Amino acid sequence: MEIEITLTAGPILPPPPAPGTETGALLEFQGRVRDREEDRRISALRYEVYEAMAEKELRRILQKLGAAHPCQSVLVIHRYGEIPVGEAAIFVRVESAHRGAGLRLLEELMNELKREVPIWKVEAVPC
Amino acid sequence: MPVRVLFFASAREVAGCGQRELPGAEEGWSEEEFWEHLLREIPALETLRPSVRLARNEEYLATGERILPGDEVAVLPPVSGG
Repeated sequence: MEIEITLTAGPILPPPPAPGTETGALLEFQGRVRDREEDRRISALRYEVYEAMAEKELRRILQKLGAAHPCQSVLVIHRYGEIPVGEAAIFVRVESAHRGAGLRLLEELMNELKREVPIWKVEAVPC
Repeated sequence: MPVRVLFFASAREVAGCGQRELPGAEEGWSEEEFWEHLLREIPALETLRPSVRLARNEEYLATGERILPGDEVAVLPPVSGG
């Protein structure tokens, strides 16, 4: 399974998809910053990352999930620093032969990322 | 060689810095011994100890794993990415 991981301080700009003819399912997910955090209105969230370990952990998780739910490729882009409301903090693209493996991998990736990968929301910027 | 300790998120706030060096011991430290040495330097971290995890050289510290001179240890509060 091809794995590509990018951590970026700037806006997420995914490359255009280029699935092969054997790809039956192309899944894309964005985790976006909402305008509320614990019932307060905010203008942005600030994220902090332990970059070297975050990449390693994401790769480890994806290799494990790829063995359980074989897909053709996964692209993960996670942004850090200050992210305005309405913009994406994370982008994931999964290509698989059939939708089942792709959907399961995507869901389990997000669950494991939120438990294990050293990235933190450190500040909710008020309006 | 010293042990380099990194602090992230709330651990950085409590420690008052992003990193600190500890002298390290040739035979290495258990996790318990590491905490003893760290808390002697930064007692305020005691309040975070129950909720943080340690990483050694960019991987979560396994049970029974020792911390050696030259290691990079990170103090990691509960994560909240995505």
